[in-house]
Amino acid sequence: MQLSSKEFFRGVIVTLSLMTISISVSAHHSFAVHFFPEGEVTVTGVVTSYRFANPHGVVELTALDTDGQEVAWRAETNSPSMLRRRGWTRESIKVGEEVTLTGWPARADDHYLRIRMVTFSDGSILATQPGVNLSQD
Amino acid sequence: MNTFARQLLIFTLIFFPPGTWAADTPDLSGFWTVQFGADLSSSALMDKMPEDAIFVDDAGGGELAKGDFGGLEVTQRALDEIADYDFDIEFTVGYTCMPPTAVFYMQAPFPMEIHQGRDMIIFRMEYFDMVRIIFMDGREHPGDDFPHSKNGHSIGHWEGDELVVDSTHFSEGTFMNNGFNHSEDIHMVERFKVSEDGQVLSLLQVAEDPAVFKGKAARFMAWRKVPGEHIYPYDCDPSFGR
Repeated sequence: MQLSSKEFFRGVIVTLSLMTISISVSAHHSFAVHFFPEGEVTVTGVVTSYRFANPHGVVELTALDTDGQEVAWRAETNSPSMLRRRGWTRESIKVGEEVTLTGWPARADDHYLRIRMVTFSDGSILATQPGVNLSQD
Repeated sequence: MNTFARQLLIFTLIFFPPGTWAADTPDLSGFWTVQFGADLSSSALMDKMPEDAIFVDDAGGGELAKGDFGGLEVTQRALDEIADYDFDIEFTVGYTCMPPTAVFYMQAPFPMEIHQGRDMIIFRMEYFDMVRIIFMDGREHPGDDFPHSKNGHSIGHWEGDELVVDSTHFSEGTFMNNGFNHSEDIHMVERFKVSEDGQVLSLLQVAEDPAVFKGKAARFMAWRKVPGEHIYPYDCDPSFGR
C-alpha cells in the first residue's frame, strides 16, 4: 500500500544512548572510524527511498526534529548479499511507509546511521545482524 | 566477476576438474561461511603461530578503531600515511567499489567457495567477487617485474593435512581498515586446516611488511561448511557514494 508522507508523517523520536551492543560489521569503509560502536540512535519517519545493492543498502527517511521541522535522514545497512540470507529483499522496505530505524550513529553526520534493526508499523522487525531473522549465518 | 576472472575460472574447471587432486590430501571444496566467535584455543593452527608474531584480534569484521594497530609497532612511513589519510574519501563514488587485497578480504566477514584441483585451488570470494588462484604445481613466485595485484601471486603445498600458501606481489591495500595500509612488498603465509569432522575450516594468516610494521602480524579466521549453499554475485554499485 502506497501512503503519502503527510498521511503517515507522525514525527520523529530520536534517542541517543550509550549502550554496549555486540556488533558484527561488514563494510568496504571502516565501521569503527565512521560510527560510534557503542552508541545507539533511533529515528522514526517516512521512507523516501530504499536501495538494496552492495556494498551497502540505503534507506532515506523524512522525520521531524524536536522543533517539528522536517529533517532528511540517511541510513546504511551492511552488505545486501549477506542480508538476503537474513530475510531481506529489494521489497523489504517500501517508499511511503513509516518505519523506525535503530542503529549506530555516525561520528561526522548527525542524521546518518548504520542500521541494526528496522521496526515496521505492525510491530514486525527486520534485523541486520545474524541470528535474528533467519539464522542462516 | 569480471570477464578475465570468469574465463580463468572456466579454464581451470575444465582442465583441473574436481577429482584430479591427490587422494591423500584433504578436500577443501565447498561453500564456507564465516564462523563468528570461533574458539581460537581449540584450533591446532594456533600452535603454528610464530613465537615472535603479534596476534591481531580483528578478523571476521572486528575492526580496530582509528589509531589502534593491534599491538603492532608501525613504522614512520605508516604513521605518515595514516596521518595523511582522508577518511571522507571512503564515501565517494570513486572509492565505493575499490576492492581490497587478499590480505584483507581473506579475513572479511563474507562467505567463499573453494574449488580444489590437483594443480590449482580456486577461492571464489563473495566479497567484491574476488577470485584467487593458488598454484599447487610446484612453480616459484615470479620475478620483480611481474605485476602486483589485489589477488597477489600465491603458491601452495601440503604439509600433512595443512594447506600452506605463500603469497607475494600484492598491490598496496587495506590492512586494518582504519587508515593503516600494507605496502606492495607484504609477504603473507597462510595455513588452512579442516577439522576432523570436515565442518570447520581454520586459517592462520601471518604477514610481514617491514615497510609499515616491524616483525610479524598474525590473524585467525574460521568458516563452517554449508552444503548446498553458494555465494551470490557482489555486483558492487558505486552509486552508494556521494
